[in-house]
Amino acid sequence: MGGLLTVNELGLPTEFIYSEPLTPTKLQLSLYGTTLGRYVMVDVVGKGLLEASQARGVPVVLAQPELLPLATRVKRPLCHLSLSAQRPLSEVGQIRQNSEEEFVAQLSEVQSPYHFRIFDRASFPPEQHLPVFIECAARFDLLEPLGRVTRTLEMIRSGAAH
Amino acid sequence: MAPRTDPPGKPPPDKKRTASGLDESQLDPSDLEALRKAVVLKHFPLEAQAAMRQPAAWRVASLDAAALHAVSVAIGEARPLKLRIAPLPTRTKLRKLPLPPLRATMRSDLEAALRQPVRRPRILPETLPRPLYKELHRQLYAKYGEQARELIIAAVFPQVPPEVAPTLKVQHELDFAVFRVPEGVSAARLQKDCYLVILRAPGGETRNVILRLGE
Repeated sequence: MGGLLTVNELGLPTEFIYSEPLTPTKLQLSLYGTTLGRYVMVDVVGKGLLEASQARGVPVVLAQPELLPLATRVKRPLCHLSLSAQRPLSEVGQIRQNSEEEFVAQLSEVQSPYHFRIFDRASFPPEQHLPVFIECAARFDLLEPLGRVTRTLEMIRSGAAH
Repeated sequence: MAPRTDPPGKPPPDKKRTASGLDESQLDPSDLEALRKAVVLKHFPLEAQAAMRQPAAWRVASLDAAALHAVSVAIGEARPLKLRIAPLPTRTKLRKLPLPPLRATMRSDLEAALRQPVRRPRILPETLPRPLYKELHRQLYAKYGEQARELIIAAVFPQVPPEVAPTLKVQHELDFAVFRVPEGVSAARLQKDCYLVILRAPGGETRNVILRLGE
């Protein structure tokens, strides 16, 4: 199962889409082999969720960096986010580029900078999307909604949703 | 014993005539049998084949020629060897195994997501932007008057709308404020820029107040 939670500027849900459990057949297990897991995660569930979402163009925070190849399948800015253990950078909005696929950005005044992992700069130009992250980081914890996605999926899987 | 050969010309109408015209009845049966057992089938060159087919009288009268002639008796007509290789079938029956596609069914369930509690981490009041910090104190004094001097700001939680007050809880020794969006209330209609402030009075009791500080 996979889930996509869209939140507003307060971090409150405005849309939630999930994929029903998927069980490959024995033939599919044999033919796809070791590539099955990644294929299901990226091309079936991930791509399906993003195409079903009504929130077009909104940046997406991925739960796992293994989902970054989704950037080649859908036209949406994708990134994987984590809180770095570094000291805060000098000012809000400052970016320190580590490589083509990684950079560190200061999103709030007192917190540690966030570590961004992206597929490439073409799919996620930092200067273009950082203002949205700065505005949201001033209001709520950017990583907190990911926990709600997990708990919601667990609730649905256990059948306690309704 | 060398076989008697007939002169060239029409072959006599005998039954035991070999392909070369030799009268086989003139041959010693034991010799003939020995020759037949000893013969090794070989592909003789065409010229040799032609020579073997000629009546013995036209060939060199020598023992070697006679032996060749005797061998030709057993061999008979020289035929070129042909190896026949069965051709491979040019068409094979192809079977296509249908590959069932992997498809996931997508569903929307906003209610399930709204039922999950939202967590706000505590922030230090000193970390608020200066205008908000001043506004916070101004509103506390406006609400509590002189008693505000004795109140200690124990915790501040950002973006806690007053509409969620019925579900509001503070957890883990004031580390997190947890709330749910009430049923029937749209998240888009909740007030922004509201802060939950937890005050501690001199007696130890706490007071929770939600103030709209604004940007």
